[in-house]
Amino acid sequence: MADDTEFRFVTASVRRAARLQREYVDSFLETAGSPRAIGEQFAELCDKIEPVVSDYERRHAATTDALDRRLILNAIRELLAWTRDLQLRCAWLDAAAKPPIDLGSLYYLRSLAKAIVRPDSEFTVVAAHEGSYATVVNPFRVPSTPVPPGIVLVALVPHREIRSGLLHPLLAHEIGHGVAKVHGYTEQLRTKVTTGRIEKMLARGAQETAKESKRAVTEERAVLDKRLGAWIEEIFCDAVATACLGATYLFSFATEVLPDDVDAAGLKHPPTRQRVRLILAHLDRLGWGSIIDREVPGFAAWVRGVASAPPASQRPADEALRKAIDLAARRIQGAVDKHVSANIAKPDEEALASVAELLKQHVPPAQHDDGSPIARPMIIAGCWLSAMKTRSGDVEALADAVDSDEVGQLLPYALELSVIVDRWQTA
Amino acid sequence: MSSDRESRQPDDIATQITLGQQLVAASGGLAAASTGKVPQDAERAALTSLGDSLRSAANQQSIVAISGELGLVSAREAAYLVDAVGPDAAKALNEMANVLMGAAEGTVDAEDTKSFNRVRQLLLALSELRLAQARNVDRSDPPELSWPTTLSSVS
Repeated sequence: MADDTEFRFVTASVRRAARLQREYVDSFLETAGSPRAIGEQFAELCDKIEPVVSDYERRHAATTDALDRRLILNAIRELLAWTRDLQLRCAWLDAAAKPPIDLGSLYYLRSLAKAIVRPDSEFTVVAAHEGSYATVVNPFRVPSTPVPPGIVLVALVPHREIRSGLLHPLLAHEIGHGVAKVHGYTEQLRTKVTTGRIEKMLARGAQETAKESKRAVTEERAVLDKRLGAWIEEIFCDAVATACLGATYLFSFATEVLPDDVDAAGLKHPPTRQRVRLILAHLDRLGWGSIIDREVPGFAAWVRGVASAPPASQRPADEALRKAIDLAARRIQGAVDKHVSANIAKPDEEALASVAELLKQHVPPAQHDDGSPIARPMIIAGCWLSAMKTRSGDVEALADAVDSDEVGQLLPYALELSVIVDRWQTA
Repeated sequence: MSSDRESRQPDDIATQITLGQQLVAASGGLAAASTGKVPQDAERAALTSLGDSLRSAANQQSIVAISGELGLVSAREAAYLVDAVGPDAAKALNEMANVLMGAAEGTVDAEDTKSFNRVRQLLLALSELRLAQARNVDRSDPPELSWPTTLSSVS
């Protein structure tokens, strides 16, 4: 008779871990208003664990084969690891209950998520103690197509930046990942663009890489295809943030990303030089380019210089991807412009001037003289321009402007007031 | 947005739990088939799904594909699996996929002990990799595995 003690001990530990996680989420749900779906889906996942444990118990009891029992023991231990790891997500519930960023920015980003991802989206921002800005879509559900009702978007913000209101627009890029995943844009675009010249480039890139790596060409091609999807999604998300926020995204992006090596190609990210060039081209088409050139000429000249300088030589795979992205960029940006057409932030010079004037008077820049609300993308862009112009206006001013005390205080209020004014006037 | 730091921990715990359960069900289905019994519905579904995944991974001849198909977060884990399978991994994985599909469809030869054992060892290896993956996450040393060096040599 086989000894089941070890198996029973692990099984009891899984049940205990699942119960503790369920109790935590129960306490969240008792008081949760909105967002609430994040807690409901967390609870759903906790409740899925018991049937799995019961299944493993039944199978373990039914077999005497040593290999089978070993496999089931591995599986229940794996389940224990995942169940315990759910605690990593408890911080997300805490953040949903008590957001780490200002409410003005949060309300704006939540409304943007509902507008461009899907109306049933819930957006939670979490302060992360490691890593950079990132997004997770429906973290407690098995992915399925079409995505079922109740989308949970979790965006991670580096903890150091939770008070950096002028960087929160980077979360529009993260919402872009939600758009790409929920609507399947990444795979659609990758399939559409992988023809003709791009197909030839990728094939050649895979062959040249395989010569260096000594791995099979098919292996290198699979890696390239996967990376192309990731790069397309990044360009897609840059385009979402650019379309919805205009010049703001360039300022925020430049502050966070430009200090690093602009020619470094990441596994999942195109080189920054290429991204800046594509963001600038998009901004020029939307009418923002001339405003940036006029208002902050020092910054504009520097950034355009970075964008137009020839890229450093890359490894064959990175070179193939970079060229493929250049060829595909207009198609990606076109898909974004179509998807977010109702939310494109074209420059409104009158609004930008109002924001600048109100900031001079130390008033939250939320309303025009006639009492109408200033659109929130214009509020943020106006705040960025003012913060830059009250400094040198050159690129190095970014690192100081982003922490402007005055803008830091007035921007969140302005974003909140703009919504209140809008709702009041609509009611 | 700007970081390429790879985490070995999957965000998708729900998927990993489902894949773990599928592996156990497939193993149960295989055990049933090897004694001439008909696997249960859930076991047949798991056998078919795992067989499809192995076949797809083998046909793509790519470790990246194998890691994706089998829910292994890192291509490194998939590389261990391929090493374990033996020199002609694509052929071996296709053969094992055929055994899984055959068990699901009731067309497998219950007397073919060697084939069954190879696949059972593969499933055990996969469970070890999945456990190593779930337990840890940012370590740089390879997981310690208890399956034979090359599954192709199992008889």
